[in-house]
Amino acid sequence: MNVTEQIEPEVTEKLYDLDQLKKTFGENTEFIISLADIYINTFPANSKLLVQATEVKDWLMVSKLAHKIKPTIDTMNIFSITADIRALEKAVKKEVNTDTLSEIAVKVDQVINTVAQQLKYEFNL
Amino acid sequence: MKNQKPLKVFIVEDDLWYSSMLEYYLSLNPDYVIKKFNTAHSFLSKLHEKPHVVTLDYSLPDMNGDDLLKQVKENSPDTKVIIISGQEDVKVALDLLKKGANEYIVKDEDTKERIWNTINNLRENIELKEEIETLKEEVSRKYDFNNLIIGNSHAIQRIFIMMEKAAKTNITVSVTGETGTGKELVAKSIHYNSPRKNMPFVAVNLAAIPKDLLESELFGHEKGSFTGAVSRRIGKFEEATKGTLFLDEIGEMDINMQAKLLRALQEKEIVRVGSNEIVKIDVRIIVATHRNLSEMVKNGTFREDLYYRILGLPINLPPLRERENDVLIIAKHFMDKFCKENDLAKKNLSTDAKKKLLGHAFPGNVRELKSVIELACVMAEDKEIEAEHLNVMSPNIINDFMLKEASLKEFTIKFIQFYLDKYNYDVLQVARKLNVGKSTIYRMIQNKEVFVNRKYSLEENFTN
Repeated sequence: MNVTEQIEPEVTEKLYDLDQLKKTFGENTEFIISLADIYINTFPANSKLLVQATEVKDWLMVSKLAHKIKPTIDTMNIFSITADIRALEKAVKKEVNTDTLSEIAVKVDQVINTVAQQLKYEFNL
Repeated sequence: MKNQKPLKVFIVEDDLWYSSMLEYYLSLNPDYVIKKFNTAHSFLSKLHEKPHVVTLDYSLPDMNGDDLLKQVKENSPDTKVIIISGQEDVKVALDLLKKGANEYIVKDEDTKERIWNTINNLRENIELKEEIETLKEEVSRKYDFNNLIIGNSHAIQRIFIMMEKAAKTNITVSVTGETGTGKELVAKSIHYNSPRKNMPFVAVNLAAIPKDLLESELFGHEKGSFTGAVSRRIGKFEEATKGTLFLDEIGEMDINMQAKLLRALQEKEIVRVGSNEIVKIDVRIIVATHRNLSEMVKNGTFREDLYYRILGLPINLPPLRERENDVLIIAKHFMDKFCKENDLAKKNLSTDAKKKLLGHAFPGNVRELKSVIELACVMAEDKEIEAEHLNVMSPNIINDFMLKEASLKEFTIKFIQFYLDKYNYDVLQVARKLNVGKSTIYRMIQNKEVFVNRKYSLEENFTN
């Protein structure tokens, strides 16, 4: 794909960093790009499901999805939502106030989508 | 350096991002053969491939981690399972470890290193286990009756039948026989062909243990129970738990100790020296002796009650001289084995060498034959082992002659042949030494009862 065709993300501040991945996989850029590609193709869809699950108050599903997404958020150092994803993960537990979870899910969804856009831009995907 | 076999690693993870990272990371080791699965069902359909290690995501969409672990343990019990979870829940982790998981790893930035190290450790365990299995198979083969019992004589075939009967049950076995007849080998063979074969075989030579230490050796002791008991130590009975305890040279046991042994065998329990605690025992007993225990009972040196307790299935190993042509079959076995182990060309016994072996009484039995054959293999320059290479001269030739029952005429022939061999077939000298008429010897030569040209005569008269 041609670089000129890429749309620059609305949020210019980079919401992730790849230091952890680079530390683990060295300078194997090709592999890091393949991970970015997986992220772009799977995570926005998962975060959309997360929002839908909070809307219908399916807290078990919210927990499961958050649990699944959490390690990637940590590995990509997406610090702005690390606490939020943990709050969603605890949705199924009774001690959590579920009133705020829909709001949190929307925020997580937005950040995940922004990161996807930023990755597309960085790696020309 | 050890040549490592490829390690089959299955990654079961529905998160494509995470499974790709794991796959990439583990692929850095070229010895790992990796397969990825994103559902429990796709993984279970390939479980028959018996992976060495599985990394299992605890939260799969189609089956929970508990159920999946259970299925792995049921269908592929040797597969090592590493549970990978996003939850730092100690209770869940402990529960899974109790259910058979080998490791529980939380997804975080150190996961990959931990998985790497865990798999390396598991691999060492797997390799050790495989080595143990191989060794067990080797031991099993080594003590297979067919490999152990070499010989076609009726006497040894009867032993073979008795050993098979002994191996099938838990009955106490008493093995008797002259020194060198293979009593311990028979005991081991019964053990390694019995249902107890995967448990310990513990041999104790009662003649080699000082009288004062025997109780502690057999039953163990508590710390401080006697001078030198610096720590608690279990005895041979406990060491042989669920296995076999072989008490060799039981006839040498002190009469006081016999009472304690009798109690242990009757009650199936022991008490360590210096302790009051009763320890239940589950061991199969095989005893051996070269002595005549019934005679010892008669003269009061062996307890009658213990005698009947240990008699069980008696196996009396015949001496080599009563095993017909087995001496030649066993000699060939030792010859082949020794030559193979020492990179020597395969050797054969010449006809007169065979005759010499058959004529010898072998007071040291198979053990003596083994040493005679090994020396002959070293001494013989060519492929053929000649009679002169066989050092079977008994230190007491009269005893040697007497061991093998024979008629007076046979003894006479043996005697004269021995002197002829000794004095290089000088008939006159032999006649003088034995104070017999030279004509007697010449007549025996003429009748082919004795020989002065052994090679020629033996080829003519001995064809096996």
